[in-house]
Amino acid sequence: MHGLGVFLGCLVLGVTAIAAIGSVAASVTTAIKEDARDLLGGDAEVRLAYRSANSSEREFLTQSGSLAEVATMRAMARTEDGTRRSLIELKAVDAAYPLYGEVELSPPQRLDTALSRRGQAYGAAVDPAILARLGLAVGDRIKIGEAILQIRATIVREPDAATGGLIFGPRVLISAEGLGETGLIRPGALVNHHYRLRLSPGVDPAAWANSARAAFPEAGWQIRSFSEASPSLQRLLDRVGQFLSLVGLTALLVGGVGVGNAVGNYIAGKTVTIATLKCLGASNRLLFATYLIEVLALAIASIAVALVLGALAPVVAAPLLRGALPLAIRFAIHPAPLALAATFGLLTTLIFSLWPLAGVGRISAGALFRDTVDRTGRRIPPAILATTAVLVAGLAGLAVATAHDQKVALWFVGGALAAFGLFRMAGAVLLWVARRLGRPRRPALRLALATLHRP
Amino acid sequence: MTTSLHPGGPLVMLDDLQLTLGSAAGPVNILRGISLEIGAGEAVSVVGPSGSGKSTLMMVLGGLERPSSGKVRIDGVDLGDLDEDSLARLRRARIGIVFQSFHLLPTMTALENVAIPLELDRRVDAFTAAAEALATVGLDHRRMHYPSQLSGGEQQRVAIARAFILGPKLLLADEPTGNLDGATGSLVIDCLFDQHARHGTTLVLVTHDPAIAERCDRQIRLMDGRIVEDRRMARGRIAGIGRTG
Repeated sequence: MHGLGVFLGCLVLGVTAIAAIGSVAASVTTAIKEDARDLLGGDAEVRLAYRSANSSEREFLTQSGSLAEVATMRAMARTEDGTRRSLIELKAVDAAYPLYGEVELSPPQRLDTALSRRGQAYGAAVDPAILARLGLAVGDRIKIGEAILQIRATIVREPDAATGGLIFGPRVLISAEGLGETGLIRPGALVNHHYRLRLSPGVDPAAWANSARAAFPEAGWQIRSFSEASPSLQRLLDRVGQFLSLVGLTALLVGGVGVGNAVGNYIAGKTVTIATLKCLGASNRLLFATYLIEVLALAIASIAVALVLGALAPVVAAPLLRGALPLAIRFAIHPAPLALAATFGLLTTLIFSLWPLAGVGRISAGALFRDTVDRTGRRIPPAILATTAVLVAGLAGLAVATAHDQKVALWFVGGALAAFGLFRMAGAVLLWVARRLGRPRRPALRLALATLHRP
Repeated sequence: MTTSLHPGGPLVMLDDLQLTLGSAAGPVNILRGISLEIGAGEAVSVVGPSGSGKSTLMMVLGGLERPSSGKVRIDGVDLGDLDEDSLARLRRARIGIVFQSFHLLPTMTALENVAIPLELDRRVDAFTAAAEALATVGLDHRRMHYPSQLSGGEQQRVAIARAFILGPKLLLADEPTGNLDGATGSLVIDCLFDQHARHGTTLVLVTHDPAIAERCDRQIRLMDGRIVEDRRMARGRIAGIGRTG
């Protein structure tokens, strides 16, 4: 099995990349589903743009279960002397917030305590970035609108941070009363009111959403249940996951070239053995099957190693993603992405191994009588060509079928095929040029050129 | 067309065999109209200078090279009618080959090497029969050794045991003592002729050694791809051999 180290390396790397990306993406998706209520901040959310709920709407919501009210808007935070300022995402919450999950603060304290009024000022919990941006520390004051607020803590974890859309500035959490003091809530203010509900036991969020729409058809509110807690995060995850999966598949395809070369070199190193076996009566079919089984056994072992590495990827990724995602990624084995990675690996192995394995049939056994074993002919048998075409179609089909965006995947498949075609053409042009360069006087150059295009 | 000297039909029959290979310098005629019959159980030496076509003739007889024209029949089978896999089956069942360079599989023990043809033939008693065959060439005690642990003479005796293991009708030996010293070569040739006699196999043996050629029933001399001499030896199989280098 000497000389197949490259084979092992290429396959393990490529399959590990795909398995790892799939496993991490599946872990994040699972975490989104498991933490959906935390992410949304309730079983269901009603959002009203630019206005708060009227009394009848509020009554309906209150009767549906426990209610927490959140208002979000963009605003400007300034130092007390007004010399430094920063765009912020302001979030005002009531005492019931959060219905699910917990806001973690530093130094540790209850949220309502942190946001409460002490003396003349309400409190604020802020993204640590604001302290750096405004040159402030916990205990200092900031001015938002007309209100002076004291920074009581920095935000370590905000469970529903991923529910919003685009975030343009660092978060500042204040109380609903504190928001009133700012004077920012005026007619026409770009404020969103979120009403989060912990529905009464046994109430289906989707059914409740339908009843709310039916009860207030003119309200213009947007209703989401926890099953669609974080569409923007899921969309981001799908896109990044697809991009990284295609990067992984690219790595596997490039690795496939290495696999092909490794198998070709391995078969070349076995020519005397193969020729001897032919002389002893082994058929081409038997020899092809023998080496195919050997290659497949090695591929399966490599893929198994890669799957173990890929399955463990979430363990490595979890601490790295902790700061970037408002989720706790928990370790679990995700069979689907691992099965997909294994299938990609096996198809790639077969696609890139069949042609070198077909070389078994080109080994001239009779040359053993001359002690120089060579290969005759370069034709790939039609059955091998057809099988390779089917496998390539299978690999392409699988890549497209399992992609989040089929159009992008189709472009990828086309690009990969074009790239292989171009490389092949470039190789042919290089050989053509080398043949026509004649015989340079410098021996090293002459030998180098001859090596390029001669047998 | 040759006139048959073998009433029961020849084991080997070549009829106007031509083999031309292409090369950068143009076509090269390797074999030029060889017609030949070899009877069952005959021992035939093929002699001639390098490049005369000896090895190519062996390749054609083994179904390892297809002639450009002419007919090759081995044991009544026209090799021209067979595809690659059928030729492989024919070799397995009816043709044994002994090479100058032994060509044992380096990753297999002596026993495993001898058992290969039996395994290819799906014989369940492969290893028992292989052990018996090794005993007949005096290597019972070396059966678990790898080729690299055997001397040249021992390797060639393993190769002979392997070539005879399925009782072939035709044995092709290509300079079997070419890589051995005189004494070892003598032992190997004794072993080869002993197996030939034991199995009643037709032996076609390429050699440069006149003494070895003398031990055969018949000698064929090739020159430039043609048979220039085909003579029956006076008394064949004399005891003892010498080497000419």
